[in-house]
Amino acid sequence: MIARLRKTHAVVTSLVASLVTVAFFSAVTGATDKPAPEAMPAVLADRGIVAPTVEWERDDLWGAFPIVTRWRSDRGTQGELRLLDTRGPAIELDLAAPLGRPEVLLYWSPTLPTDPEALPGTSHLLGAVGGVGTRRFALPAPAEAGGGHLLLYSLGQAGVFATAALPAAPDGADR
Amino acid sequence: MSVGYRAVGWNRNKTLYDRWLLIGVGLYLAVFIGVMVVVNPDATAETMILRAVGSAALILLHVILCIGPLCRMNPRFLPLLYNRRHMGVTMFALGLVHGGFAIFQYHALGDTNPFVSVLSGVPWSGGIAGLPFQPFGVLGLVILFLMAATSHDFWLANLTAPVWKALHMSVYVAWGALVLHVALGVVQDDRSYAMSGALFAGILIVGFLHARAAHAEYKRDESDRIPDSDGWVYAGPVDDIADSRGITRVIAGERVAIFHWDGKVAALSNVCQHQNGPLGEGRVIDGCVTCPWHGYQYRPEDGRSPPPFEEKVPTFEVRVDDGRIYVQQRPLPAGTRCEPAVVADAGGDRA
Repeated sequence: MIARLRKTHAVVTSLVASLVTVAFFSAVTGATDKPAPEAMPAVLADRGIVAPTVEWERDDLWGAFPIVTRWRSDRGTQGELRLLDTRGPAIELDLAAPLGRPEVLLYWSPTLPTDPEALPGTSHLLGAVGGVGTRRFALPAPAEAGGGHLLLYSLGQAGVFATAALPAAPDGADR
Repeated sequence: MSVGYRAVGWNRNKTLYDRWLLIGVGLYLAVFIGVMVVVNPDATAETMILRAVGSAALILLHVILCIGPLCRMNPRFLPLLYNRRHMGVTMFALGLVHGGFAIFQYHALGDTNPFVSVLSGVPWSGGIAGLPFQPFGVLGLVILFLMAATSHDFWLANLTAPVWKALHMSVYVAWGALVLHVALGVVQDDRSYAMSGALFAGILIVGFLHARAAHAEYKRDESDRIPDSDGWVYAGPVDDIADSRGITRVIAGERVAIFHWDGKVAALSNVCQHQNGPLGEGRVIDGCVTCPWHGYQYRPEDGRSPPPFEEKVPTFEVRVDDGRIYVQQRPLPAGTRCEPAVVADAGGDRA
């Protein structure tokens, strides 16, 4: 009786140890990356809703400032549900380092300022910028086609300290 | 063994064992949470408890699996085996806390039944690496529950030791399931070499110790003795057995324990009735063969526990010729009296 039990024990341990070893290596080596942030839950994807699309991404618009700029749109979004908190395209600034200026605001203007201390009269305030990380701003109707300029204005220093020419909106992008 | 019914036959050794076990678990949890507070201060209290008790349960499971082969290789580890069942129940309790916190934190706040959510929340995404990790945790916990629920001597006595041991052999399935639970879960999520390396080290240690112990056992068992025409099997010289000690010989496919004490030799089945412990590795104390695992005792001349206890094991006829021990290959029914062979000072003697 006990001899048979010992044989069963040997078979069970050998089998389990072999299977576990193979499964362990398969699990570790076959691990895939986590879903990208843009991934859409199936319940929304089934309704034809797509994630906000990055139409373009540039890291050379702001000169020495380490800012990545993205144009996002809700192209393909249906009905009232929109994943951006805007009714049109949005500009995203991804700051790798603090800007080093007090109380920074982001503006869009069709023209560049002639006086660094004064914002053009046609400027539209997009929002506040600070710290590091990603900030998203809705574009005003005149900017939805792209073009014009983004301006970084320091309230503390009362002056525009950086500008970036906004490329034209991509063809077919949400406007 | 016990006379009247007692839920747990507490004694000093069991108390000490449990005390050190709980101190060890408590210290581990405190150190783990302390380190996590420093290294990952953003983690919630639930996450810290979940990870602390989960890792404690997994480590304890590996320790439990290593105790058996370690005891087969070196008797100095026998004290660890003495109350291993309490270690197992402790491990299950830690696993249950882990499972409970996991269900509460990740599955209880949705619109799906939490238990359904655990089993279906993450779909299979293909291949072994794409298997969801939660069902493996559930499987392991269910098996550990069955083992903890039947760990008491009540079930051991009613199921009989062979059936009970066969049931508890499913601990290896639970181990496999829980290793996969971790490999497919936190290891895939964390992707650190430290995490996967620690898990693989556990697999290696458990596998190596079992393989080494099995090899030693196999070598011992392959020397099966061949009986003569009358069924007597030569078991070796009396001088090979120290006084009040035993040896184990494989006769007709089963192990027989042969003891030498007070100038006498007797043979019993090697299998203790309590948990199938190896009687041949025990010693003769107060005239009784004493199992090295939990101290169950049997009289060598009839294989019966001393009154009022009622356990009994099969006995074997023995004779000693010229200092050479011969054992009859056919076992006698459990508890059958069989006079021990007397070792003569010179020449042979016959039982």
